[in-house]
Amino acid sequence: MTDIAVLDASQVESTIRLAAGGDQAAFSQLVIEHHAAMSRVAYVIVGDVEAARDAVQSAWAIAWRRMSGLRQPQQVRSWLVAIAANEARQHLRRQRRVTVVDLTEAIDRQGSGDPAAFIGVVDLERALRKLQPDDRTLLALRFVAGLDSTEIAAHLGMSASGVRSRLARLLDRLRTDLEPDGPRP
Amino acid sequence: MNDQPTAIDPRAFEARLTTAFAAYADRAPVEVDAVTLTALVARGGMGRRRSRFAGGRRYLVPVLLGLLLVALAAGVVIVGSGLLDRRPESDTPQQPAVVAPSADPSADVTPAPVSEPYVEPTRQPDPSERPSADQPCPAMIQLLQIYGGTVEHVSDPVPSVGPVTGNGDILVRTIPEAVGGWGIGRFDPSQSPPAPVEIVDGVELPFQSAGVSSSIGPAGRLVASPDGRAVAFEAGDLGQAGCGDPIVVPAGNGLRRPFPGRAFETISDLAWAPDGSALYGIRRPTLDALGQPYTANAAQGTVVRWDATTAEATELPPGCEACSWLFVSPDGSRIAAEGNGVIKIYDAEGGWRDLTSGDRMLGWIDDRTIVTRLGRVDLDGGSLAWPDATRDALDAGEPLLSPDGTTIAVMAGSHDLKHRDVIFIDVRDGSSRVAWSALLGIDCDAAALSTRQRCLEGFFAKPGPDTVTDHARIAAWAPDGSAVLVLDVEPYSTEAALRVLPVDGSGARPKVTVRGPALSPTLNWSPSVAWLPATAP
Repeated sequence: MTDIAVLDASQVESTIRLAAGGDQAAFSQLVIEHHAAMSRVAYVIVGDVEAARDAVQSAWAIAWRRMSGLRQPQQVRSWLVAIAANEARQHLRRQRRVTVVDLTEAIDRQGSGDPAAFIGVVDLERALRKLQPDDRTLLALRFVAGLDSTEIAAHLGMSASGVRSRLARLLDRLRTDLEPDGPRP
Repeated sequence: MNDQPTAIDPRAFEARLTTAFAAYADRAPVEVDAVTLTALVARGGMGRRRSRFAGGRRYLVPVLLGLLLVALAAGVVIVGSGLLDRRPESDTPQQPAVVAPSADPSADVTPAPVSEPYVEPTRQPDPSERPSADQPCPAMIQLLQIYGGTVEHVSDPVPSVGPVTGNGDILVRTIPEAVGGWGIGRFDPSQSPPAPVEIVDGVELPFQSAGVSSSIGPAGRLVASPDGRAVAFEAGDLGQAGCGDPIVVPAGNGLRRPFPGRAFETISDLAWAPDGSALYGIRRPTLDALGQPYTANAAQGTVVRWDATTAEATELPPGCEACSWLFVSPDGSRIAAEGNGVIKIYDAEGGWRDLTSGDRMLGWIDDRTIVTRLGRVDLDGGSLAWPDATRDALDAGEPLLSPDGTTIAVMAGSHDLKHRDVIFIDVRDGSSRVAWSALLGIDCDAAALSTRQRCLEGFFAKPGPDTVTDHARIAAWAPDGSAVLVLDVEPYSTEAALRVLPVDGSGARPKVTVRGPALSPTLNWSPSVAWLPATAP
């Protein structure tokens, strides 16, 4: 992700250590660096700006309490993103039976982007709405956060092979949803 | 990437998908006032799960910011007038580490200084905090006398417990201090006074961390053999020689038996033949042809059979792409594995066939029938799709098939939104019945934004001894099928609530609370169905 700073190991470790000790400036630095990535993942999972904001702020509260338990500072990004994803997923699970797909709203938000690309986004949003929270989480961690299956597995308590298998199934399903007419020219 | 998409090439589709995801994620609310957010977090202004000041509270945040500014101004005035002593130099917060927020050194952004009146130099320790699941966190084994609802502390510290063997021994993970790495021990709960945990294997194992998940212990599922004399666990590596082997450890005294594997491979979905004569698993490479770890692309897996006596490995043809969910039929003659929406059936003679499944195999009903979340499939032809109501329930939860293959149990939200129901599904016809319904307890202060208003209006019950959270799920069947275990662990909570629900309709037993993170991911009952092991701080 382009919004993640490139830090050397000692800088990351130092910042994590300070933040874990309660240093708010160091923690703020982590917020600056990782908030966008967490928000993007959370938004893809919940599909709602306010809910995504809610989930990410909860994730930061959790990160503050548990920072001292982070044993591998170099994995702080995936750790934070996974917390945000988990918060978003839990939010979505609460909403499972009351979710309303409002495509009118989606169309109203289209703006003036590339029409072809926008159609893909609307289709994607519609396809995501059909998926289980856990499935959206997997897709977001893979395609938005860019985590590999090993990282996803470590953070979700799954096996890497299980992650790959589920992702492959999800891709098949999305392919069916997004390309219902089969191969394109 | 959108220029010439083709549905034939999976990589082209993934590229298009990545682009679409990026465009979709661009709608995310990425703006943040890091200093204010940090101050709120540090002050504990955010609830355990949801902040009452969370961004969704559109009006509270501006009000709070205003209050902060007013307080800041007041502080400046007071300090300026000499009425408030400044803290000693040694007590002032450390300067933040100077880190570059972007790759461009010229674009260095130093964090804004935190206003002193609102800075707490050190975080106050939270007594509820305990080591995370990936840390060695010694805990005592406790036996949950499940029908009596009592808890008994009986053993040496262990980080987590595994399955119970046929003779009632509990297999546990041993602590690093004792064995120099994660290992396996055995504990006999019948002895009084309690005997120490006997270490039966002490090598360092390549367990993965469970990361932020609080409900699952270290990965590497322990799978006890049917006779309880051995335990196998899953292993895998990215290149450490010898770490790609599945390992079988006699549960009694004896040498471990590494089953043949290869480096750069991983083993998963281990399952024993019912008679203990063989161990099955799915073996797949961890790196692709370019030496990169596999990610979303399905790795070509192979179902492997290890002879329990000779440890000889046999690959079952053909390969099984993206396979998982391996189950051995009750008579041991067939192995089913699911990958890419297809169930592959392997037989002992080397034959195989594909079944078009639905999604997510749950196990074998009998030697010729498989049950999935969508219905059941008969090897002799024919299938039965579940009724819509049943499919909805199975989609909403994490279903488990009973040991005798007659009933699926699942926990799902009720249609009135106020309860969570344990639903039993008869695999003969897919009919379902609500076996137990518990009120959903929601803490309004910690509720999500979209739930909070309804919560404040009194729609939901408040959390109490008789309520469940919306994370409650079916965790295990009793070995004799007489009851199910309802596990209720909120994310990041250090405690788990367990309830036993007999299938005879006599109602759920009282809730027992145990330490959550150390619970085994695969809870196992004792053979007598009288207790199950857990850990306690």
